[in-house]
Amino acid sequence: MKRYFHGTLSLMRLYLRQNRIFTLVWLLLPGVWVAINTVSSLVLFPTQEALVEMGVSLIDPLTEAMHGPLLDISVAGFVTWRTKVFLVLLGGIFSIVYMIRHTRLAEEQGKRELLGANVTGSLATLAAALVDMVLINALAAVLAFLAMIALGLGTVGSLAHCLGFFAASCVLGILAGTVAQFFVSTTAARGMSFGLLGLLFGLHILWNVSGLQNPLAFFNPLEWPLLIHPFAGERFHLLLIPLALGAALMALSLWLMARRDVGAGLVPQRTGRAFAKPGLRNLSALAWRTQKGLFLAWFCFYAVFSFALGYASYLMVSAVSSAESLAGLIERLGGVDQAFLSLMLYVLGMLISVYVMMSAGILRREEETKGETLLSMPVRRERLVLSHMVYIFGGSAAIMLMSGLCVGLGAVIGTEDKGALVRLFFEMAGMIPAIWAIGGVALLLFGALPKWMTGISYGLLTLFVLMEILWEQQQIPEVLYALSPFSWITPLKAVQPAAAPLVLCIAIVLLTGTGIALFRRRDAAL
Amino acid sequence: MTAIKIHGLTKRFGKTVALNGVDITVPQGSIYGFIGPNGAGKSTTIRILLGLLNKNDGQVELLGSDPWRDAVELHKRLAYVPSDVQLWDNMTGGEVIDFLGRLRGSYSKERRAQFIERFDLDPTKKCKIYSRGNRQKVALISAFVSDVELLVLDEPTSGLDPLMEDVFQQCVKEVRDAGKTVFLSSHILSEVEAVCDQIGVIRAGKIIEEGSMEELKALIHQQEPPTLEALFLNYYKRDAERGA
Repeated sequence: MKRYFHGTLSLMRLYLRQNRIFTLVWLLLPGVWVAINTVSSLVLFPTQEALVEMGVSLIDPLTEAMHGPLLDISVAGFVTWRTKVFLVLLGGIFSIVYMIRHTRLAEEQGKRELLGANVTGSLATLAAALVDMVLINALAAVLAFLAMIALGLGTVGSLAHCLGFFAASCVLGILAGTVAQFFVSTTAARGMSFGLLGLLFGLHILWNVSGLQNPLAFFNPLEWPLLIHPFAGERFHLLLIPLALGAALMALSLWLMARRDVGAGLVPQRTGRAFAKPGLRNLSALAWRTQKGLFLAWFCFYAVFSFALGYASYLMVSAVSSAESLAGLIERLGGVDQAFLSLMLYVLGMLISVYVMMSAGILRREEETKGETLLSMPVRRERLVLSHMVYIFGGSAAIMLMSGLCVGLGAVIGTEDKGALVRLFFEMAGMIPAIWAIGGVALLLFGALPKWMTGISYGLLTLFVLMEILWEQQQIPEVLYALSPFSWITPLKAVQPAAAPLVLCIAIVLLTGTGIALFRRRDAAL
Repeated sequence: MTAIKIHGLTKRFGKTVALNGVDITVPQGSIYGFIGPNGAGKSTTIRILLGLLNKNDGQVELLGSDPWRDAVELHKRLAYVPSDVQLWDNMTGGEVIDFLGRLRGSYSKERRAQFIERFDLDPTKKCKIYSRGNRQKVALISAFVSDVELLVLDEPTSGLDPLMEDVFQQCVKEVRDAGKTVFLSSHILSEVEAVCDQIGVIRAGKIIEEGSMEELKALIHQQEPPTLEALFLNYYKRDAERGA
């Protein structure tokens, strides 16, 4: 044992000392999110009657697809139902990032060699990351549990809810630790982990939309917080599944780690060409080499997922057409068959801003790591930015147009509604300016605050999404909501000002132009 | 003719003063050795010469132009090897050499083959699996391959083995013999001693000594061996005495 795990405790302490703000957000956010939702529910539904009356009207088709059936009509039942998917995604994403950072990224940066050459066991780095990840998730769950009890939600149900998202987050983190053993590059390991999370999320939505009870759901972490039935006859024995799955994956990752060399993966590296193709001669060609992986992954995922969504939309139509309380919303969105898809497309479109920021992140990484080499060549700084803007703006537009086309085709085949193709395509196309505005924000930060670019831009995106939710619940005024680019394209407003695209376009030009101008003037390659 | 003329160069990062009035003159057709301890300001000086960083104060002239304002034009006439070479993980060494050569514009297939052989590089490997020394070889080859007036090299040999160090010194001398200028920042004093004609010593953001190798060696005490190392250690001794 000593050969394998010696020094694990010291490494755990080392990891916990790093990235403290990241860890703090991870610890506090679940509790805060549950508390916000509880308080706002208590304000919105002072009595049980109000809850039954208004609660049902808040359940729109999109929410249903996202959260599944509401198990118990009470404030506690409502809060657990509303928060569980977000909590699992949150815990899962933080756990994945954490695990990849301390396994594959550390290895790529040579940190593992540094540590491994010290008095540490051969599996200590992975073991320490795994235990830390579970501990942080556990503490986050305890804090959320305490918040729920303090707000009077009931002990047993709160415990079930917190255990549910705790188990799911841990298993997703362990999964990332296993994936990290296969790939030599951090990008590939992280991409694969998030791809798997995306797949699980897609299945989650598909199962919710179809309303079928699939036995495979027991193996999807995103389903556990629902399957454990908080506040609706808790089924704690369900936790045996995550326990067994987590233990098996953990054993697998340690077994794989013990069987490979430092820096190596289980997917072997190939040699390449000795001479570059004639086309590799300018920054545009280089940008394609650095951006194509991200772009093609998103492009293909969106194409397939959008088609499936369009094709399956008729299932949803029949599910919501009977809900009288949705009449107002459905009418605003142009009838029952259009309502579901419009909302779905809106969320799909918003998610593309993550691609935009990842793509802008590649530009920043190129500047940070290869800026010295590239910018000592006879190239203009703005040319470097332009070569990546093709993907930040052009790439995101291509993904959105493809998504619109595929969802339309799917809907035409699935529902035989001939008009769907054109309608859905243009609906998705209409969202492009808002996504571009996010790209403009990222480029402004690239020019103005390069070192803080990633943190601030993801923070702003989170803020925009929160503003969306708060505006829907009528807790922030229209003026504030207008600061979010999404407010100018949201299908939840009956009418948008005719000048909305123009406003967004002016904002894009100003943000991007300022960003490039600042980049030309600032110290580069820092 | 001077290739590089720096006078009173100052650079601050926030409150830290990285360069505090640096003066350097590099004659054309010479190899200039730029030495100094870690954190003395060597890389900062070089990055200003390349127009990556903007100066706070002073005059900088590179090949007769302003490196910040005329960066693009100047970069056609120089090649640079950074101290910490980072390359594109998914490209092979051969691809990087071709790409950088085409980007710079002065590049020939014959010279490429010649330098790959001299530096004994396997161009089919992905940059991801190259060691530090091999990444440096890629950057060095792409610099030597290009036909430029000035080479700026920032600790280019810290990862190379002794055999390659030898090849490097030969290549640098050939460049000088062709009438070109080399600005070589280095920690390896024996290397500086072996190839450099002119030397500048920087410490805490200031040039404390500049001159030809002979001039500098004349500064060393009679009883000590006439090496740069002895000179270098003398500075530290003087510092220690001043401190005491």
